[in-house]
Amino acid sequence: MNACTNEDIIQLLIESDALAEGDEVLVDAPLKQMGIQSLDKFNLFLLVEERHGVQIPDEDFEKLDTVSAIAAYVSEKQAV
Amino acid sequence: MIGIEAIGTYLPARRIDNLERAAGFDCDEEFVENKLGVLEISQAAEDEDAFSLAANAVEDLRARTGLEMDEIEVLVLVTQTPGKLIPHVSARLHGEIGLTDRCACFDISLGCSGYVYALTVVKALMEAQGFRRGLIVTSDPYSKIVDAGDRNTAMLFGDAATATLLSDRPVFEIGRTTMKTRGASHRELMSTDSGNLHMNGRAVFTFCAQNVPPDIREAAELNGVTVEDIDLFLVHQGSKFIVDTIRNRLGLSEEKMPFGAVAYGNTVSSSIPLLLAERVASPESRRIMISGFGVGLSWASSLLTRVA
Repeated sequence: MNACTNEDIIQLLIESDALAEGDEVLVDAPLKQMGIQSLDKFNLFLLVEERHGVQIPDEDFEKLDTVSAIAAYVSEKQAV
Repeated sequence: MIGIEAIGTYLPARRIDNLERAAGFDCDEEFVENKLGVLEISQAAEDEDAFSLAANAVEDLRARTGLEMDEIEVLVLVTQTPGKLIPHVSARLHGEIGLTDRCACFDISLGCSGYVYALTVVKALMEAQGFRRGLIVTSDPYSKIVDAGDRNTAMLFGDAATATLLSDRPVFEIGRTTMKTRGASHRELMSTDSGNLHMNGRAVFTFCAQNVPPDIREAAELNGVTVEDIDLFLVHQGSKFIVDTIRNRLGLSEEKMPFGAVAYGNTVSSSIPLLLAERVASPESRRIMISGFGVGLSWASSLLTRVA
């Protein structure tokens, strides 16, 4: 499976309506800074788990709060 | 054939404004309006409880239908917030509304899937026993167990009760039902040792998003129709976000799967009959899919078909 990229995560945010096409994306900024609320984050992580075949436990969910951190975490999990 | 003839409802008068208190929960108007979808929650008064809410719902049903209480052969009450544990709330209600000694009477302990479960159980019981009139009452004043400072639950749950008359003169036939449970996940939504409600929002959301859409498709198939054949989908009103997610996963419009709890919140076992009550007298929806999901974790879906 290919590594998960920032663009993959951004596409899932657009697909789940948490972001719109053309929105400015700050990949290293907290999700909330881009207007992404807690419920949107639930949906994002559900899609990440379904599409990338990884399980993200609650303790990691709390820590992962930027697009780049999520992409790196998923890539690392896939590599194991 | 036993089915739904009429529905009475009761919402307590008190309302708590979520927009006014949003900042105190570290959220904004956009979150309240577009994610929770609940602008106000209904809240029982200090002296109201599951029993009194239920009695008010039955009174509304009686006012709507002129129902004679000596005709009722079974009363089933769905609640998880009974207040006093003994006796069962339905026994107190039985005495209050003047049912006869020959009326069977028991409670069902289920949450947001409770109405769909109860319809199926009571219909089967009535048909097996040859009963002609029965009542299903839902009553859950969750405000009694919600921690007022808990962001996950305090802005979401509202108090309500409903009373559904099942009879041999139905408006809606009750179809076959999916009835499911995942007890291994019960800790995600449960009362704690202190008695307050705990909800793992992420776990409950994921459970609903992954399990309810296929369950609705399964219930349609069980009843010999497809999702496209169904006029209206009344699902448990967990939050606007969860209803939107289920709707998107099924590819349905907001008109077909509405969110209608804006003015009172997530009323647990009462959420589906509150929406259904408005539709009993309006003939435009012939087939209605109902789906409840939550505590247990449990979920159930069934098809209601308007009797010609």
